[in-house]
Amino acid sequence: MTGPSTDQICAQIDSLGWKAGSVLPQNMLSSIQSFLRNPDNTSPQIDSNDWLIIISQTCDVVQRKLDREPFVEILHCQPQKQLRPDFQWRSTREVDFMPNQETHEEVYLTAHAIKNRYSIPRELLASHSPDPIRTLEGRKVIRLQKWYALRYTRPAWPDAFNNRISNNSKKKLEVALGDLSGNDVEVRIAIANKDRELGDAENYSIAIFFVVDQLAWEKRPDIREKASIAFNTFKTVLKDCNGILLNEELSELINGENFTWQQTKTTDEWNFANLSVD
Amino acid sequence: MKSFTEIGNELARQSILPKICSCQHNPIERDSPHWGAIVVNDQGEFFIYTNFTATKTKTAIPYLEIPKSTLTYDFFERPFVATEHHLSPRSSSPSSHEVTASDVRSTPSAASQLRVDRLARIQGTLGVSTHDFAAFLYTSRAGLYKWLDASKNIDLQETKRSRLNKIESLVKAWKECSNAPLKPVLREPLATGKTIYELLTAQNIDDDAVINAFKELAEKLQAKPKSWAQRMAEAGFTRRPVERLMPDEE
Repeated sequence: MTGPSTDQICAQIDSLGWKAGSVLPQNMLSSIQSFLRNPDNTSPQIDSNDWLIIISQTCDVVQRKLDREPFVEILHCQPQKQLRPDFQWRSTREVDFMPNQETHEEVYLTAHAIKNRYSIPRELLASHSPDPIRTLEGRKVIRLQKWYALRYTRPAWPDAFNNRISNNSKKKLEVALGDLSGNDVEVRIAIANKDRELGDAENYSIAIFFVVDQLAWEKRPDIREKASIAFNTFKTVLKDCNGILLNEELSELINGENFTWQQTKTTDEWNFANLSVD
Repeated sequence: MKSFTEIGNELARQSILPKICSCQHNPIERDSPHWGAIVVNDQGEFFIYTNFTATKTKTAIPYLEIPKSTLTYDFFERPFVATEHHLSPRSSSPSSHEVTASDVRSTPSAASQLRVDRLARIQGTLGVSTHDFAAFLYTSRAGLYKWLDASKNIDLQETKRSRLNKIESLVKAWKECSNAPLKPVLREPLATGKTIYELLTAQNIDDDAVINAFKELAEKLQAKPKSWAQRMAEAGFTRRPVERLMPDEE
């Protein structure tokens, strides 16, 4: 007697509703335990309240050929009492987040990007349905994926630069951005000597750009005003940082239509996770 | 929560406001070189009266926790009407309305922030470069950078303040004509042969000429061909949605 074909297994995985953000059910733990290994070859402790979340892209989870995507990646997240502010998407190593504010209002999870990430054979998904109660809400799935992407793609700003922006200044920068939407405004920074760890005697020269979506720029004076206020406050905070020299003349609040390819290549998108040193 | 009068008295005690009055909309001693007054009228509305020399009054305004979004008034010259809800504490901290020495020390930067917000809002509406904006305000670009730096406490000279007030009131008029920034038509020739740039950088601004120019330019903007982004959006090409700029959304 032969088992289901690999194509049938893949079809079964799809029909069971597995996707990025699905959570493995408790009764699946025994079948995957042997694939979960710590660096010292011991098994990690998985408690019943822990969330084992699929972080592979949905199209990979349901890929029709098993040998093309033989494994799925899962992240082992553990509940904690509260979110630590410094780890709410501010570190590229550890993350604290709420998995689903609609269904699990008071659940706060934490995970380490690498220590808590495992791969399990994809075919195991065909024998179980995803946890019916627990699932990541859509925007958190995207957020987690972007967080992983940033870990590998973020521009590495020099530690000497990052250290010149104190925690207090970081908070002020966050306040400056207020409720600006990333759909309307993108903050970009040009850093001279961005590949060098400068000594205390040398300044990092920077220029700041608040690029406003062209449609918002043309039609929404309220967004232009908010962006303009945020831009000036942001500049003030950075000017106050010792060892950072803001180039006022080059810095600009600018219509997205006028922000060129050249400027894109000369600047990095601002991201608070880029500032993490530890 | 402290009553408005209690706050006023506390501010007077701390010398933030030299004079405090609570009266039925009476005129105040306007001749005094440094005066500021909090007045309640018979509708229960609160007024802050001040002349522009009362820098300390500016520092009092953020202390009173009036939401920045309501700061559309000209706090240099005109009375501000604050209603009871403006005095509600924004934080749940019971001490949010207590005057402390550190509050008094920290308020100058809050006042500077108000100045920056006001200037930045005007510049944002116009969408003009710092160079052009400085020309409107009859100041240098370097001077404007200082004004736009919230870490600097600056008392604007009377002439600069008047100019700023003038530009601000004209910007409001522009907003009534168009949602678009002024920048694309800044140097567009008007029917009179002049440009709006010339009108706004004149030493004595002719309000009527500017208003007429605004109307003319708003029509010109409407008649301009659609922008690239508009054409793309109408053809169904839209940007991917992105996350908020802030890292924490939990």
